[in-house]
Amino acid sequence: MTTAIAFRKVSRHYGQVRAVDSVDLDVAEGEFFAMLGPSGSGKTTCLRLIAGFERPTAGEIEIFGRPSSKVPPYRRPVNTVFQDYALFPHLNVRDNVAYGLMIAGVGKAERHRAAEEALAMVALPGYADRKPSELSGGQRQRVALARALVNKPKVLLLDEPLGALDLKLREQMQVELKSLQRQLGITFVFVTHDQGEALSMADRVAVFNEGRIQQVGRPQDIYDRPQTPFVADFVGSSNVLSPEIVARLTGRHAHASLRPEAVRQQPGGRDAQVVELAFLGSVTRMTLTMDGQSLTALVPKGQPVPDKGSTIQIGWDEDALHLMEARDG
Amino acid sequence: MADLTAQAAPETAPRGAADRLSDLLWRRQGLLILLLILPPALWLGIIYLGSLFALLAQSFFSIDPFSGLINYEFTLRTYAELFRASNLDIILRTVLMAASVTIAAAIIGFPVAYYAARYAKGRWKALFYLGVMLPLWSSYLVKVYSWKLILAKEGILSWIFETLHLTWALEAYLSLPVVGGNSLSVSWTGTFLVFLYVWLPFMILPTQAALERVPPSMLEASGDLGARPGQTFRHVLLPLALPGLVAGSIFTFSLTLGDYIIPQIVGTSARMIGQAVYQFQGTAGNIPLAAAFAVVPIVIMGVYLYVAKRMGAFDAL
Repeated sequence: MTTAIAFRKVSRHYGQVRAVDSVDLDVAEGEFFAMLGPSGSGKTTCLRLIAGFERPTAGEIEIFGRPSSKVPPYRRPVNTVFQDYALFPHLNVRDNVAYGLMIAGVGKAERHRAAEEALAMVALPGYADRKPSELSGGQRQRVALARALVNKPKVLLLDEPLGALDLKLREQMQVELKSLQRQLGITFVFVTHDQGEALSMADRVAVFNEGRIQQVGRPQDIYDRPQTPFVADFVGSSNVLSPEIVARLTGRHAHASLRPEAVRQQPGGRDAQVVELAFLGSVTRMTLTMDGQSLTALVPKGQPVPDKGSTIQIGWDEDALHLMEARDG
Repeated sequence: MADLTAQAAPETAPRGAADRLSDLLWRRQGLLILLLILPPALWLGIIYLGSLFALLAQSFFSIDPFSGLINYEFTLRTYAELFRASNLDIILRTVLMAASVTIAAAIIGFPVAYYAARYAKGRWKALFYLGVMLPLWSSYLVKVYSWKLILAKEGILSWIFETLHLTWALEAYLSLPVVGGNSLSVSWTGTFLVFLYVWLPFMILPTQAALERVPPSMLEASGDLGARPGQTFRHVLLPLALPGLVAGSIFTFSLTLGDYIIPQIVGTSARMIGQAVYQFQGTAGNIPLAAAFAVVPIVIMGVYLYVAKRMGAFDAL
């Protein structure tokens, strides 16, 4: 498998701030790769480094095996879908989509035809004559996508492209993006802070925190076997048990993660106080304390919900408790 | 929760006249808008536009060549007089000057505005505003006279050329037709330089405001789609900055069209529109012709804006 993007000890520092700190990363060709992390974790900076809007302060990014630090953005075989879409307000949708082809010197008839095709691909035919200001957020998002895809990039970079859409539309676009990626076979690098989005769409996920990669792996592995307390907490808001508690439970001194859905009420189990209840629709989320450790547990709809303030007995399967190496604090 | 809603406080009663007035204006927003807009509307409508139209009406009268008295009958004769060769020269000369000042101001002003909009932050931005505005704080006349001294034959500019052993270059330039002259201070080049200096802030500020509104991602997107910086400038930055450039050019163009002091102090003895208006309404006592001359810049600006609009200068607004 060819490597599309490779980070080799890449850092991007702004004075004292280490936006990206010594990152190593390989993205395979044809892969749907997600960069997941909270805001300020360096994921967007990584994307901008690939696009060439930023230059690394150290290290090298290789794009299809070629060092890129001396290659300006306009010569890179990548295209970006911007978070704010960055559609040109003075051009109509057709000219926006055809912009890259116009720059490449493609004739008018030819590029207009390609633009129409790209618009059809993102399910937005018939909008070519409108101005971006006349479109809804979801439509602009599709235009931005068409504008990038029409150039047939080898890598498509997406910077939180669904962030501004409402929930329904977002879920629909997730499905469409995924199938579009399969159909085109283009490498997608997708930045998001939404763990559900990353897990559901990506072939592999890199979890970022404070400029560093915490873990890279398939969504299933990230979810089931988080390697650091941060990943456990950020991906699916797992319970992170302190080493003291874990030592008491298992005899081993390490952080451990415990999925909220793995915690169940079990007569004869460990005592826990119900501190807070939150009704979420299909489940009720309980906040518990057990031996001074705060825990989250989920009660599926239909099962009895204990009263707030009551003491219940809880338990979980042996292998649900996942011990983590103490890589960071 | 329940006892909180039970105790929900009634709305507070109005206290005093100010409260009552605020309440009234809140209920009748139309009244508020009317109160706000009426004084400026009266000022603009009656005092400003009214007197302008009174002046323009004069242009349809004529002057009796023998008695020098104004003949209050509608005629287009005064306008016909504008097309006499000497008067047409004045108009042409002024328009050319205004156009060159505007183009030069745009070329010099754009990079300054771009830097201020894209890179200057905090203290540097304050410094930029200060730098651009500071010249506006001192008297216009003082600035123009200073330029006369700078450009004079014995002035600092000549001295600089001499020190650099480039006097021959200055001499060669001054010997050119039209732009040259005895010294810079009595040449069209001098007039041009002073106009450019005095009106430059009026080009920079609106251009900077327009550039400020261009999101950086727009330029990145253009580069991302393969455009070299030059292409990005032509296809994205310039169209988006155009409303600001046009706004700036309205200032530089119309201010140059109407000015009568700068060409009086610096430059040749050939007149510009402003000077013609000044002389016809003053010494010559020919109010109708002065009024007709005053119409010229208005018509030119109207045509200019129409063309700019047709060319899509305001599409990005």
